[in-house]
Amino acid sequence: MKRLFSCRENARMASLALDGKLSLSGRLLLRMHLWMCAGCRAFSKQIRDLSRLFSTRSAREWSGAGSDALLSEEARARIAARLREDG
Amino acid sequence: MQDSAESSERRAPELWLDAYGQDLYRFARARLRSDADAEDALQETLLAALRSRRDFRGDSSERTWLTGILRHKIGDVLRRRERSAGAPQDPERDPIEEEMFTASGRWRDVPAPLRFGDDLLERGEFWLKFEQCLMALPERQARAFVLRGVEGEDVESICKELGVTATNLWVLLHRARLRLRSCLERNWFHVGEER
Repeated sequence: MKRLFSCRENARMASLALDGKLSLSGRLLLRMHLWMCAGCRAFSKQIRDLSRLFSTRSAREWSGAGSDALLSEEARARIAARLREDG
Repeated sequence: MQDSAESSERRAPELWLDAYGQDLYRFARARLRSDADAEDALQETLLAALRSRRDFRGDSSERTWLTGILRHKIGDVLRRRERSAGAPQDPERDPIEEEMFTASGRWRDVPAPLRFGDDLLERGEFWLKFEQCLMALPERQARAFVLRGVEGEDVESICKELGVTATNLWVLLHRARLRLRSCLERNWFHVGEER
């Protein structure tokens, strides 16, 4: 029981909860632990926020809003030339 | 008639480049986190497509077909990287939890009450640190984290791309989060520097 309530196990459960893979009883244990433990509370919130920020950021890059993820003209020309060689 | 069919076939690879090049590049760039590697993967994909275009049956769309080839090319690059980084990583063998927790399972350094707020989305310096922390992760953990964050990737295709079981994926993701969070706590918030 002590092990089950350890921060190490709890951090795992917080991760699983983020992935939607934690059972109902697991979620109850997690909530109890978070209520008592400020460190795990910070961890749980921070990994959630980081995942969300990263997804939002990737979605932007994906949609082309992030201009740093554009194929450069030089690269495009180089690849086109290489294709012509092989074609 | 035959001539025009032939000439349109000759042009196909460049048409692909125009029609899908940008999207395929972004797909590769998001996974490889490197401009040069993404450009190479795109080129290799189109060359492979050119060589095997007679096998393309049209059951799937051109885009799906090309994306499938690209996934393989990305896998090649990542495997090369893993090899050059040393032994292939066993998801069961990573001491990060031992580093973070004591034998009785307590935090060695208790996470500080810091917030990663939405304002960080606009902060270029933050994303620079983020990329650095991501690059410092074991390759497979970084890939797991990136794929999980990329919109529209379901668990099954992530596992396929990484060559792991779903159970391994949860372990990889957890370790990636432990490392990433702690790296940013140090490098963005400068917690623990005086220790």
